[in-house]
Amino acid sequence: MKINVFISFKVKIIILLVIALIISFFMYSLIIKFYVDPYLKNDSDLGRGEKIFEFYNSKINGNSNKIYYLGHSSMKEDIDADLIDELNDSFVNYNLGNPASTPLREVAEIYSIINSKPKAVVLGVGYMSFSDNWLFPYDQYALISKYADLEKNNELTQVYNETYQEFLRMNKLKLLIYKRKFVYPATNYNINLLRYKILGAEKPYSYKKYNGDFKSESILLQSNISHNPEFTKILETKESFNEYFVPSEKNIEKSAFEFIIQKLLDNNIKVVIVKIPLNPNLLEKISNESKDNFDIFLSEISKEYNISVLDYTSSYSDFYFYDGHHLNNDGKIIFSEDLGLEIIKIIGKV
Amino acid sequence: MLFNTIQFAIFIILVVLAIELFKKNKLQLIILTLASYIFYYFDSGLLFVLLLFTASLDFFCGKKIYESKSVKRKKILLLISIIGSLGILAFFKYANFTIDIANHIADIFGIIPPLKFLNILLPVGISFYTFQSMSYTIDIYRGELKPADSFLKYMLFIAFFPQLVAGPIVRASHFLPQLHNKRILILGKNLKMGMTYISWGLVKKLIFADNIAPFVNSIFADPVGLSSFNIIMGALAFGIQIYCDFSAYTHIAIGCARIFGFTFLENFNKPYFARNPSDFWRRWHISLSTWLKDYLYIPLGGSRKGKVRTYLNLMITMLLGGLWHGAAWNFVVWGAYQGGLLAIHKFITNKINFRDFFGKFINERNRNILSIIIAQYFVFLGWLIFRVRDSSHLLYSIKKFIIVDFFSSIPGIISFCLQNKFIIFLIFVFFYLHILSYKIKNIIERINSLNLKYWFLYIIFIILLLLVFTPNLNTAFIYFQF
Repeated sequence: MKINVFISFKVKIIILLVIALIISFFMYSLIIKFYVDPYLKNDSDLGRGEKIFEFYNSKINGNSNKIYYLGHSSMKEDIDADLIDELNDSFVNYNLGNPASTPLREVAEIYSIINSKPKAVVLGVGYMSFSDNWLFPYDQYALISKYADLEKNNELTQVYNETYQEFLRMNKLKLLIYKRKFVYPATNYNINLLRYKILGAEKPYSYKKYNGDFKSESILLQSNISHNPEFTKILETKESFNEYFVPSEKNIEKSAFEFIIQKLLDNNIKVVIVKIPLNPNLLEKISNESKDNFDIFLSEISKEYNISVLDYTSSYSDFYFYDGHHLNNDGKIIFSEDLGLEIIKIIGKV
Repeated sequence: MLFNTIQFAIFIILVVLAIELFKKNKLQLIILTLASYIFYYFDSGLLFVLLLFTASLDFFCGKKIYESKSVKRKKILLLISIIGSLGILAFFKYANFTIDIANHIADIFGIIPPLKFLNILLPVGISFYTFQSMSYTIDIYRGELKPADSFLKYMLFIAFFPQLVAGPIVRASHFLPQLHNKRILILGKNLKMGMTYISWGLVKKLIFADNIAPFVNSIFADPVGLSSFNIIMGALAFGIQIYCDFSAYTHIAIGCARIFGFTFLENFNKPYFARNPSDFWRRWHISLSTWLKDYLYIPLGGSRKGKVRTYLNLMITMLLGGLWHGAAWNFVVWGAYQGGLLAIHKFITNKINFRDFFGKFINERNRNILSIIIAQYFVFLGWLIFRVRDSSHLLYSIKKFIIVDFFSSIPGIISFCLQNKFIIFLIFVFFYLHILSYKIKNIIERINSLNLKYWFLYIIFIILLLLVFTPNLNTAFIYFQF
């Protein structure tokens, strides 16, 4: 028996549109999965945010003699956790610095930190940490949205305003769509890789090792240049460094910083604050007002919460710096030893 | 409610379903009208009352003008209609601009205190629907149009959601006959054509206009100190942005209307292939330029009252056309510039026959290419006036556009191009497609006439392109502000 199935032209068009939508969405998902995600994971420093959360989750059932070093790239680049481990075998040190990160961004990690039960957390801060003009990319908030879990960790909504919450609350579908903005940088990276392979051009940097390293891997020093010539140019041309301006009044970064300290102390995790080393040439160009506001704020925090503040702001000469706030290889060794010994002294007393 | 959002997609699906569900023509018209006013309410809130007022006033006046036997009475009614419609437009769009001018004058003469600005919002699309409504009563007055046979149809004509917010400015003589008393059918062929138009519009808006916008913003936020190359690229990019943005809206509007079986006329015809200023205005925002011609330029006397009067009429028409775009000095200057270009072009062509003059030296093809390049140089210079609102920024940009400094900054040009590879790629793709659409007439019709399986592949390709290349932030259409 022959069955005649008649589908009108209109229905055909509707069916085709629906199928086209499904097929293109499927193809788009493949592009993200096999083209963008590997780029984010291995070839961009944006992948480090996720790796840090994975690190905390892997340490939940580990020992409790861990010391975490948190902060922006200055902490990541300037601290050699392997070297600090060698100073004293009672503690295991982890460098969890994240490029451009500020206290506000670190708040998202707070519950993961607490769950992984470290002995102490060292918070590295510089002028940019409390500035209103230092913009941390929103992208990272989107990429770590699956870990932040604002629904469960309701307290975070007190710290993050609506814009941040929008990124941190991103569901899987929204994140999948959001990731399209990385198609272009991924393509750029792959073109450079192709140029390297075919034309012998400079090899683009792979962040695979860097993103997953919590000890001593750095990127700036890979160039083997002890001083970055770009920094000299910046110093010559730039009159003021607005991105380092710390206001006297409380701002979202300062509140986030206090929130982190409060939460860590509430969970019996020792806190040490470190003022990161800065190049004396850069320091000259930062206003006294900003420096005073920074010092006053940290001294108040130190008193209020009874925590140590280690000041390395002007401890090292220009010789030890790669640029404004990153040490070179020699500087990294000296600073890691100096800081490591101080930390062991403070934590060891407890 | 932006066309490029999920909310709009859901909205139009619901309207299509409702039209399918209710089979009576009157009910279908009620649904479309209600949907249009709800659509407008999403954008303008309670200001949709103004739309209702304009619609009611002009419908009433139109009916009375048609019925009236006395010429004097017809004139009075027309005047009431025009004053009513233009009065609302003037108040909401130009009140604060007028106060600003008055304050400046008062400041010069030392008169204090200055007048306070009014706290008023500009209703979305007011310039479009006001012109649309005005043309209705004027056409009836001229005896060129019969009034709409019901208020419902007129309300729909004024507020039909695809073209309500940013045109095209539809003429009653084109739209009202389409509101016949037969059932509105959602046909497969219309659905296919509508989707082809919409897909083409979305590509223009989301891939070209929205990706180029941040580049344009970064250049014109503070252009002082930039090289000629940067300024020219900025002008070029803005020209592409505004064309893609506005023509995208038109295409989506045409596509949406087509789904319900309605047709709108094209609003653009490859404007960057215009060979002179008059040609440009025959290709750019056609519904506005023809409106200005029919209801302003010709009533002023057009070209019938001597050469000087023709130039003056062109200036007045374009000056008001510029002001129609917005209550700001740059639009006034832009209008005057366009009027000046038209007048100068008319003056030169009156004196010289270019065909004969250049015919001796170059062939027709090269002459056409040359005239396109010259015409577009002035069009893109005009876009600077349209885009840059700060006078010192504008003067600097114009200077750099005219007196080029390419050769002193070649390393800067290379680094600029390397930093903006994607935008430069988009500019090239745009011009390639623009040339393609010039060579292949009716490109959308051609795509629509593809065999179903190839059309299906085209749709997959377009959706994929949109998914990959749409920037993450939704931006409103530029012409929404007018």
